[in-house]
Amino acid sequence: MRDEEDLRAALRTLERHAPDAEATLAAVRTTAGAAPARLVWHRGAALTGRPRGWARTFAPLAAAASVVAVVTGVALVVRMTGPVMARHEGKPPVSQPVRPFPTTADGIPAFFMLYPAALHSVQPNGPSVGGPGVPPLMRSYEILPIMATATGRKVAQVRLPGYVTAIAASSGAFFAAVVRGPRAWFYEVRLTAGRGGTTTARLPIPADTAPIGRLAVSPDGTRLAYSTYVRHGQQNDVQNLVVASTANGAEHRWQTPARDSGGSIGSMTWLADGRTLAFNWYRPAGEVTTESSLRLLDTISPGHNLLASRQVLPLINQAGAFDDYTISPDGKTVFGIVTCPRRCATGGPGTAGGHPDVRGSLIQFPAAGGAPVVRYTEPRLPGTPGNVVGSKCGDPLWISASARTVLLPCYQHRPRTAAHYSLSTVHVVLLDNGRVRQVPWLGDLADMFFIAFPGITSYDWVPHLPPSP
Amino acid sequence: MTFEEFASAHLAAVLRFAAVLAGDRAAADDLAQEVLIRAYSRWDRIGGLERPEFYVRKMILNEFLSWRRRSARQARRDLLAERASAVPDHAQAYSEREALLGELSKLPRRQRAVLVLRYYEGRPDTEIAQLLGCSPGTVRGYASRALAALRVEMTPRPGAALRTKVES
Repeated sequence: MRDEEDLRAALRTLERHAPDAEATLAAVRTTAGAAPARLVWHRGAALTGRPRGWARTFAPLAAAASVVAVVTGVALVVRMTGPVMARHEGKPPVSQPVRPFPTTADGIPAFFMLYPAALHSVQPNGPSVGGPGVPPLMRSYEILPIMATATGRKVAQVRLPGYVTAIAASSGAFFAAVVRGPRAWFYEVRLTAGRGGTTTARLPIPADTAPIGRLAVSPDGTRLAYSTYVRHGQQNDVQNLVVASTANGAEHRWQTPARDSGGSIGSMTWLADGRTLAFNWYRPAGEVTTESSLRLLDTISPGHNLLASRQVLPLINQAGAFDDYTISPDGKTVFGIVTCPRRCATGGPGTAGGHPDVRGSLIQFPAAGGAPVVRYTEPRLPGTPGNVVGSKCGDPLWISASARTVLLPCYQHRPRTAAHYSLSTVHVVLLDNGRVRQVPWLGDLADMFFIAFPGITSYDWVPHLPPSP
Repeated sequence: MTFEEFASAHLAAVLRFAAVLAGDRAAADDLAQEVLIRAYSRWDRIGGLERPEFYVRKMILNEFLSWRRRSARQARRDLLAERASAVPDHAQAYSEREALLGELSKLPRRQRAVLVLRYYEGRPDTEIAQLLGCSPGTVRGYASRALAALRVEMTPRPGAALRTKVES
């Protein structure tokens, strides 16, 4: 016979199932449509031997941010609708072409999807692929907001029936990889015309049991590309690529040749032709070397060798070292942020457009070859040593078809001194054919969330300074 | 009390309460998020109450008792089983405590809620009756039936229940 103390002890053991407080708060605030929470995130795992692009994907998001908001706003005009919770899960949207999103007055897609960055890192069948020590957080559903570019406010939200591991957007719809049980499924989310609601449909793409790396969807939404991890003991490398039809699920798979099994796929984007997939390739896996590069894969060609793709630009070159590149939809322009770590193979910070030190700047390369130019350098905070820590920019959030317009998140760090507190600020700038304008309402979002604009899913994060006491 | 103050002071305890009530991680996640999203959107009103954390606990309790999404819960149990099989812990699987938890999960929800409130939260029957909207006698009836089902011998005691673990 048991006694009451046995019952108390048994009940106390159930505390181990308590949800994570920070993750719960993030989900609550995201769903409730409040301003992004200014929390201190500490979850995550150490990433050794990974390039910063990987770290951006899986590293913990650090502390609170302030928005640089005392600047001129951008006159963006888009019709707004109220938030609506979508619970409908319909049939796959076969033969129902989606209309492109409307644009703002500046030509930017009017909507984007958010995913709380701190929640990313858990994969099916076990702990975080980022490393050991992260407890599983396999939610049975997640609610993702869709935001208006013009205001930074939520216009709709979608409830997805599992744990979201990756998001992406075509020119007129959003997509997510959703883990349910031991498999990842793929969903399409459309905004419904006129009412601000959404419809969600599970795509006929076969579920995958491998952990999902990145997701990218062709501009017309008919082809979905995703990368998956291959595990080698403690090592996790993204080495498989799948391109699937969103209409009928037909797949074409590529994999890394055995001799290059140490390589790894990074971020991916489709070109406007809906046929060519650009991806960053790291070799050896997780390292930015002269063998690491941006590559273009013709997804219509036969074959399964991932490295039959064409190299466009190495990640280390005369302009410095880059964590990754983003290519414009027309395939003619490549962008990257100079990081130039200590072991920069060129032996120095590199040069572009005659500037000897372009660390943290946005560099623009002609994809066909030619001299790089500095497209944007973040102004440095005057009179503080914070510039040493880094006033820099992250990878573009969105690039127009011909690269004339770029939406770019940038950061400034000011360490603590006797005179002032430490400070890390995030803001978003719109580079428009030589003009630079601030989009202050996107600053917090760029800090706290993964952002899926048509063509690009941003995985950036801000290495905040330790908070002042 | 602002939502920030509530989160700082009480959220961890509220989440533990949700976990003990729900019995597994996924269900606790659902339960906590469903309630907290609603509470957050109405915090102007809830924050002005004398004991906002008590109100949130009551919301969690009500949500738990009204949960009817059996298919969703079944899916969660499946997920739990998969996770359990992925990381076997034979010692735990066969322990008396796990057997007790297994039987606890089969109880009707009101009976389970009474046991959690009485033996985990340490609340007296009168307070449990307030939370459940019934009489103290009904609470004792639920408890008695639940303990009998679990083959737990009640310790004879006069008056209020032991307050072994009250977090507010």
